[in-house]
Amino acid sequence: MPDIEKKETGAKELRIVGFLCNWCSYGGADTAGVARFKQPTDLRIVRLPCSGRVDPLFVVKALLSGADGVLVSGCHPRDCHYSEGNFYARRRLEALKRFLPFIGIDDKRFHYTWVSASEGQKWQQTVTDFTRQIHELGPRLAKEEIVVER
Amino acid sequence: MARHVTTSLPGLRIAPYYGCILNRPPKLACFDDPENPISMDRILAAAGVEGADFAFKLECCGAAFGVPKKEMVLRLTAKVLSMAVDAGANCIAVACPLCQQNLDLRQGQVNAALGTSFDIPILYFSQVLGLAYGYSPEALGIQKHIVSPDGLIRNRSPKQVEAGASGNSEEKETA
Amino acid sequence: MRVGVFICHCGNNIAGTVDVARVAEETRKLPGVAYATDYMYTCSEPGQDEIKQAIVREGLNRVVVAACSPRMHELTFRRTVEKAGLNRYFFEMANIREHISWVGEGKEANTQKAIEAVRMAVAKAIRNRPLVSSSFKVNKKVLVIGAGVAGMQAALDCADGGLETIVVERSPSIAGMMARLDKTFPTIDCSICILGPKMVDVAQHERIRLHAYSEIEDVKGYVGNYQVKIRKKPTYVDWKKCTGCGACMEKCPTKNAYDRFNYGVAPTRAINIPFPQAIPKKATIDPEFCRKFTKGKCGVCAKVCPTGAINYEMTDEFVTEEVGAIIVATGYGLLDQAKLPEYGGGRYPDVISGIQYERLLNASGPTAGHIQRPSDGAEPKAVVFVSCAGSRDKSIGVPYCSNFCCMYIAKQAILTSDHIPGSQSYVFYTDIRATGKGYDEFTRRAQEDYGVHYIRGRVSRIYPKGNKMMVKGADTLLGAQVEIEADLVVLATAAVAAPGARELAEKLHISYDTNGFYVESHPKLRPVETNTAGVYLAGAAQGPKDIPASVAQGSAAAAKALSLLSKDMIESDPAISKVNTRACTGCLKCLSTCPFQAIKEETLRDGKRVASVIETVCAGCGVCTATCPCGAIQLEHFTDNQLLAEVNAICRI
Repeated sequence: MPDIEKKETGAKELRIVGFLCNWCSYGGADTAGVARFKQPTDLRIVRLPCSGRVDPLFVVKALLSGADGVLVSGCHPRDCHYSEGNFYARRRLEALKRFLPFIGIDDKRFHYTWVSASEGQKWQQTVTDFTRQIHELGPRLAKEEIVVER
Repeated sequence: MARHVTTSLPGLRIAPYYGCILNRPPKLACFDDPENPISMDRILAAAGVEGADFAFKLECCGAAFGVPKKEMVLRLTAKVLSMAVDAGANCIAVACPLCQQNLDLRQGQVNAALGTSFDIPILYFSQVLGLAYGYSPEALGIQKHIVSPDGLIRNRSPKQVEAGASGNSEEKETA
Repeated sequence: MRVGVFICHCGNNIAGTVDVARVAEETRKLPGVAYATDYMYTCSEPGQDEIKQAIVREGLNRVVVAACSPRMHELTFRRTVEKAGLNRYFFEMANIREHISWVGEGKEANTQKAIEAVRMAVAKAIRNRPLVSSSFKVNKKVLVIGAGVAGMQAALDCADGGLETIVVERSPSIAGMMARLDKTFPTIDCSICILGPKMVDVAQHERIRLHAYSEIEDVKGYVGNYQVKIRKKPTYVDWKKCTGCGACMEKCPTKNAYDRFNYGVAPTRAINIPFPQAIPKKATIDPEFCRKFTKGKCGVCAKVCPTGAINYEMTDEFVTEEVGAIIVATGYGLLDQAKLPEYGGGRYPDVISGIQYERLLNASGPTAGHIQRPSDGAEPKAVVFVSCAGSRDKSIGVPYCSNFCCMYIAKQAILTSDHIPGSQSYVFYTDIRATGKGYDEFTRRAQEDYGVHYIRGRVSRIYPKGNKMMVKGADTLLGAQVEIEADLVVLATAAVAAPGARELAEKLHISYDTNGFYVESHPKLRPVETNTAGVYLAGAAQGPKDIPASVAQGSAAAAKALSLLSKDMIESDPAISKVNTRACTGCLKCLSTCPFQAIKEETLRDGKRVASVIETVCAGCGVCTATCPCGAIQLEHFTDNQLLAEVNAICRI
């Protein structure tokens, strides 16, 4: 990953993976885009049909592969496009959050939340806050420890 | 509160005046309803005093501008006083010294400037409560007011105990 | 593998903040990428032709377009690659506009992010598998929820188009808000006179079936095949026997029941027919007020009913309807005056809402069209209208404009001057929003021909003084305080989401915004569709709207339902779960987690018990895939391998 100097802060960009459900949060991110709500650029988004599709192992896998933070966002509970997918997500991800320290990962590197398709502003806030949190924690592995596979 | 009332105050009809910043801004004051407070109304009711339905509970009386804009203060004060009189009140209860001072002290000035004839005593709600509890007006400092309430409180009399047992039973229940 | 990548400039939308040429250049270096280019408008016809030609010319077998959101144009490009002979699921999209160029922090960072977004899409595209849709039969019936003017229009259009239509209405009569209005702007024609015939059409249409006083209990199924459970609330009157003669209403001893139709302007009886033109014209008992229910004895209506229709023992009844499409036209509600304490919060009888004033104006209203103020029945000589009573006020959670208040206030002010000669109306307004055809002329007429006094500013306070209401506010044009002595104050209370709107949305799996209004699929291009296939929106349920807009949207929703159900079969989305029977251990965890009961147990020929997906029922959420302990059930197009390829594309470098 080439180092990118951030225009405003001068900080190095970190790697954040976002798993977003197609119907609410991906739409919310689109809404934020349409409204030109500026956000930090560290986040890379993977689109899924539903937050219930997120296998907790995806999160672990991303963190072990060099991601500095992982964000999962779905529809608000009770407002799931698939009725109850996000209930499953909530249970799984809450359990995952508690287990992360056991594998040596700060649980602050993982966050799950609910953003609806109309909540562009909330999405901007979520991304900004989580990115700041990850920057406070710094890169997950010291630079020399990163295994570069090409 | 009602249990401690020993004296009835038949002549009084009080307009509760909360003033402008007792409960505002709501987020900081965190006290009662910001538009229609009722805490003083309830205290006065507990003291057994007749209240007047008063729409200017929260209206600005202008007190803070007493020196630079006296004209305006007189106009605003007159409005508060006249709304209380129109509501059938013969006395105004306040919670704040600035309200008390302004409404009481300035009545003469208002009358002189606007040709009105307000003569409405301004008591602290705590003084009203004191009277209801049987304290003497002197002990409550009532003689120090400019507009004298003497005529209104002259008729106060020991409270009639309607059914001797009821007060006791109430006490037991609450105990 | 030969992947072709097309980076869109989107005019300046992307190219302005992303170095698209560099994205293309970096992309060319990726393994598997045979061709990468940037293009001005990829979604345009020449842009799509370019893709088709490149597929042939370069022998591409996967296509990635880096452009706007896939929610916008994924379908467009899938069709494009399909026309060039590729399976449509060999197409993948990278969102470099909404998620990057419009929100990023500068060209360098954006370009890098775009390069990686393309890398993710390429990684996924390489692992995409060809998928083929199957088709299934549709049920050529449509359900309309809510029978206001939008719902009625939708129902009539569907029924006229040949669809069997089922209408569900929550209140005892169809007609909704429009039936409560006296006149309509800007023509001042009588509301019920133009609505009444439509109501009769709904009632008499051979292809419309009406469930009045009913609510949606539960919705199951999917586009083309919904099963809707409808709860018919107890009216305590057998409507098959009720003739609507009104004898019960006349004799009912409970005279203080809340009149829901008239918004409490005057009390009504505990058994009542809401208004003279009601359809169905049948009586309903309000158990909240009926003495038989509150005190246990009375029974007067049962004695006077000539047909013996009264039945106090009635309970909820459930019917299930099978339909192919659903039109949601549940309308709006009004802000509770209690949220406006500075205007009395409902404490003052002479401060009423616009809809209540509408009932006072209406000849079939409780005052027979004579304007009498509620406190003493006197005819008001000075009437103050307060627009934006709650609307455009963030502090009480209504940041939006309620759309129709400016116009109905002008209408009510004009009608006031017609009803009470010599009266004076005042209107406090924030802005006069009269943008429709003939609307601005109308508000000008109110001011110029009828002498309505318009004051630009907000009302800070309303308080009683004697038997008058004092209205205190600002005139921002004069920069002065104003105080008006009014006999009656009419608040244009904000239009809010209908009560129960959120609960219904959850049953239908459609989304609603923070204000409770239903969210359309695309604000510009898909204004009546929802994100749930086969569910359409009409009227104010989607946002405050006036009558012409509601009717137009009702027709639009009907057109959508008609076009969906014009086909006998529709294609299913093949991105559904699939079981690898060799890996499946038959634990059936997927069966218990599936939100749609789309998984059943199956015994293979060798006796092995495995899970099996019912293709038409599976909605493609992938909950089962994340549940399966051995990765045997995979959601097509979002398999573990495909998604992890995306993760690896950005993390393992």
